[in-house]
Amino acid sequence: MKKHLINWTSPLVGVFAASLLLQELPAQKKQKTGKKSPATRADFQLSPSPLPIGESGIMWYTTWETAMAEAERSKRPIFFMAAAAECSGISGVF
Amino acid sequence: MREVLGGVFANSAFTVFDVDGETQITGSGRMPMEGLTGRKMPSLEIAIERLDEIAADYPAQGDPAKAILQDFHTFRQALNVASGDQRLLLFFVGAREEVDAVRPILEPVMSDPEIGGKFHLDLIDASVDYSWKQNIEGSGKKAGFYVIHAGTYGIRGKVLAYLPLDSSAQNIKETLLSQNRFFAANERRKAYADHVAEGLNEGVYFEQAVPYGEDRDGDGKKDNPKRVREAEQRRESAKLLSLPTP
Repeated sequence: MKKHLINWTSPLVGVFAASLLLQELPAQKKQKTGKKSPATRADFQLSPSPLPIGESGIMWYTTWETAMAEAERSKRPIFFMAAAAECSGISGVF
Repeated sequence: MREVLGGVFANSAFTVFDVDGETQITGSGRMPMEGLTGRKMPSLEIAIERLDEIAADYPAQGDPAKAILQDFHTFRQALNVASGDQRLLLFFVGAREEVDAVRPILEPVMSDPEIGGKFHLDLIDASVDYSWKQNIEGSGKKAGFYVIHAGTYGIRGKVLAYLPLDSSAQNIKETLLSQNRFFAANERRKAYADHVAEGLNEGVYFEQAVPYGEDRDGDGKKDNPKRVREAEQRRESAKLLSLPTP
């Protein structure tokens, strides 16, 4: 996995557009009682990133303008990802 | 988003564009594997193979040491993305001419194999946006380089190191590597479920520039008006609120 992530940085320009929303995941279970219970981890289901912290990941371009400039400079195609760095309004996570 | 997903507005989209930024080389989808292969749930290995096939048709040109620098539209976005990716943020603030002058210093640093893919980078003209200091512990008035550790929710942060305007590329690199070693040794990888649940319970709310709500069936209407209303309620009662920069 790590080797492939590093390879992605050289052949492709990765561009990430972090300007959009994110909703709750389909795995969220509805509460059957009328009481509003605190949210629990069972409501959201995604495993943590396998990449060790501090290790090299994708060298993202985080504006379209810089991604286009690099694609033009290096003649590489653009791996495009649009996503929100938040879920249900909780930031700090993809 | 709607163009990439054929009229749908959803929380993620993946595709590959040609160098012109307009021609799609692959299909698109809400997951990378789907976008690259056109299959609903292929394996990650198949998706990686597809990327390798595409890359083989586009040998990279130009000096890697002169790769265009990463940047963000706002510091607020940079801080949140750095938090989400759990990478340290190298942040440069200065006058416009200082930002321009620092680019040739930073280019070889950020494309260095020991540095690339480990940090996020943001540069701002101080005359345009000084709001970055509001939630950053240890922020100062000086122009220069700040190595920032974004907080758990990407709304607050802390300066780990400051380097002045005239810092050399070598100094910047060594500082980044040193701070990254400490960061890697002490930071725990976030668990998505725990993070979101804790954030909800703590009253965190981060407002995006795009209005809340998906349109997965592409009919032009928000799919779940109830969830949109709930989001608005969370915004009103938030204890840690972040709004887009005006």
